[in-house]
Amino acid sequence: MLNANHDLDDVIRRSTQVDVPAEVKERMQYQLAGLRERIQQRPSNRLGDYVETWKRLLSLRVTAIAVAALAVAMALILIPTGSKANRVYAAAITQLRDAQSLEYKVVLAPYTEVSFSYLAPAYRRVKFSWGTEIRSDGSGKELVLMHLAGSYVMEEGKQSDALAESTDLVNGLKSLPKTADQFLGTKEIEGRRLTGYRILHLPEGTVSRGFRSMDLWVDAATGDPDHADIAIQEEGKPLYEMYIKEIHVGREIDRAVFAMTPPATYKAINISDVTKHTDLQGRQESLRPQIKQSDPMSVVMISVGSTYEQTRLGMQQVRSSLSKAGISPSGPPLMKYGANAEWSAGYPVPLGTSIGKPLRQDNIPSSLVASVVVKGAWGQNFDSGWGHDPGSRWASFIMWIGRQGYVPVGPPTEIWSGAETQPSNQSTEMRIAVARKN
Amino acid sequence: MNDRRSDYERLILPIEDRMMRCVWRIVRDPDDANDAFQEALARIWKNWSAVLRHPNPQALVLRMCINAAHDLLRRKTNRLKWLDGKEIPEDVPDLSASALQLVSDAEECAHVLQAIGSLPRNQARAILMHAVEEMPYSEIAMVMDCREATVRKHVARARTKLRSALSRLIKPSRKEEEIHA
Repeated sequence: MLNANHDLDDVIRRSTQVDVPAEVKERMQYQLAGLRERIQQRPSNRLGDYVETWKRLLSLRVTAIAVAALAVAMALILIPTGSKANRVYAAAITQLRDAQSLEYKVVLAPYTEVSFSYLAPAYRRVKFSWGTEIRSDGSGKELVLMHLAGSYVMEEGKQSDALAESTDLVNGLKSLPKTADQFLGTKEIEGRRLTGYRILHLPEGTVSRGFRSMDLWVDAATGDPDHADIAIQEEGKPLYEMYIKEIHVGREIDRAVFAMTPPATYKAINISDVTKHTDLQGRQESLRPQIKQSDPMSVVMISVGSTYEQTRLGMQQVRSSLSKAGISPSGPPLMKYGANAEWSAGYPVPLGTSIGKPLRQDNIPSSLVASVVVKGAWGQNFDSGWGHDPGSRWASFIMWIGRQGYVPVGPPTEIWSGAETQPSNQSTEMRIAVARKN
Repeated sequence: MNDRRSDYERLILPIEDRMMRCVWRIVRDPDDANDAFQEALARIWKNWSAVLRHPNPQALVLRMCINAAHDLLRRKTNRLKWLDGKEIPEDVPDLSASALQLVSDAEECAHVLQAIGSLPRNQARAILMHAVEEMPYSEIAMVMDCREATVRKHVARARTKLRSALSRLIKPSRKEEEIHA
């Protein structure tokens, strides 16, 4: 029998012992890098420490009386804290529920930040770090400003479809449950003592599908909500985390930030049929904008100024540095619109490639993106259904994304294909990470 | 931050290769392996506190990888009937010995994985940890949160079923050969 077992195990082993192919290994290593980053950024969990302490104590097999005495002692430590903690949580919830104004920032890891402002009854502003702003006043109008291009779109439609409202978390924050599901303990940040609460259930429709938990951290002294970490996981998809920071409740907000009048110098974009496009030769062709899952990418980039000429020079510099390092780009060059009019330009490289300074290497995980390919010279003006200039085209694209039931979570990226010396054969893939509306 | 960095370096880094290998060995398809590994890492992250507290964290992490891969294998086994020969090309234009060997190996592998995929969950996971990852019974018991005797029972039952399903792939023992002679 021993021999038979050995033979069987041998067959199993023979059939399963194979090396992991390099391409599969690369993808897995990339996923491991994500786990590593999460673990390193993981906040400490005081509750977990308490549980651990308890388990250790019980494993010592001290007498029942001693355990009971310890239980009383621990309860005396926990109950007053929990009781005060409940009051702190209740104070934070009341503030949020009654908020006449609310401001906060959402960090969409790893590069993008979005600022949200709300003023009762229905003024909203969403400001993306890459230079796009959406304003709505509750009347059904929505103003999309593309600051980099100096252009704007005025939309009128159903309020429920408004991009500004669907992207923000005001309704979710204003309707947090009266009691939290778990107390997470306390932590010190910049001299302030914060207490944490985990909320596992929110009213339906207030946050994205797949909501798992929200960890709300509140200033123990004032009851002011400070920041929140939200975990979202849709079925069959990896865990996604969103960080809300710099929460300000009831702070005075200048109404001018919600003004529905665009700056006088901004040019209106007329969005017609955004799926039609006229190429440089005047030929009409259908565009195929789509929502798709992107492949993970490793990109090497440098910061450039906010002009297309500087972008092109930046691309050349990256290409030259890669060449010196003996690395071949794995695809066409790309550029990314960044915060404060600072763009990045560079090339994708094979996953797992390691690059030194001054080049910056970003690992972009697989994510849901909206994508469309526009034929025409890179970063140039040409008339099309998407608009005359790159800024207009982006505005049109963002509006198209909204109509498909998605919200942009950025940053906008352009992948430039075709020969550098032949503008007539060039094309640009406009790509931006998106999430489903609530 | 340093403590948390060392958590990863202490627990995951030394077994990264094993984690990747054990998923690939069970799944054997690039996209499926990607999905299974992603699922495994999501579970590890979700249960990270439990991993840290576990007496044998690395074995627990490997178990999560095996479980994720096995879950996918089960789903696939239920969906596809590999034994029907859909995965094995019927027409083999190259009749050289090496080509035939390749087909034969692929067939054997498909049979073994399909048979494991058909096993009850605990039996499959126990035999995978024991035969593929060569983990000792005591370690498997620790991560399956059961007694060592129970693990032995799972492995024995799995072997019985696999022996029956894979009879033609297992060479007869010396004693059996003598009887047939």
